[in-house]
Amino acid sequence: MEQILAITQLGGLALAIGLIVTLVKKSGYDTAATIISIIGTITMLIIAAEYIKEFFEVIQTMLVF
Amino acid sequence: MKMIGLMMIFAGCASCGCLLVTQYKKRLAEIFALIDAFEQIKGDIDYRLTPLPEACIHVSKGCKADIGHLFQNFGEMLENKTSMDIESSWQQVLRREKYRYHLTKSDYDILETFGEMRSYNDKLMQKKELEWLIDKLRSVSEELQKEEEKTQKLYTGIGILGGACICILLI
Repeated sequence: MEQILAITQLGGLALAIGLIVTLVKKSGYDTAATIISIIGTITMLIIAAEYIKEFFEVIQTMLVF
Repeated sequence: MKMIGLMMIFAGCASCGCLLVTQYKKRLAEIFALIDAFEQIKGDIDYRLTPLPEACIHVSKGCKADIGHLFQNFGEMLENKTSMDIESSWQQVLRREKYRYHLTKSDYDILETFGEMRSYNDKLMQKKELEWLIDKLRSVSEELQKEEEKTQKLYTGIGILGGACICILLI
């Protein structure tokens, strides 16, 4: 359940940031759009980092004897 | 409780976007009102040969979007001779009345040139200076009108989507 919530959260965030970037780009503020997309990516990476770490730990337990 | 908090954050962000749109519209309305007022002052000076203080007070009565206060105070200041020259009186009035309006710094920079109109200038010179000022304001209003729809969409969209982003992060 927790993982489904995390995936939905990441998807929703990506959708919202994507729409903001499109809106800002259409208005002619290209630099601001780049900054927003970078901030969005970093935020999403921070959220996903914990799950990626968990994923690697699972792989490690499978491979290391 | 958490949901109510999230809804309040979302509503707050969305209303911030709407507030920015309202401010933009008010700025445009104020610039239109200023153009009207300066046109009337130009007419008063040109056809009725009214002195500047009287023209300002006369124009202030028919101004829209609260712009009347600006000309009322300026006209009274000139009539009462509370300041030595037009420039400092106009700047003083602009500084005092700034809180009422939604104009930006660039708009005030254009407006300040009205104070540079010398009292010893003849009718023709005053008319030319007023025409220059009106042209500048007109170009600003045209630019604002051109970008009105785009900017409104941008502010509303950023307000709503920004609110959604914060809510998603807080869930």
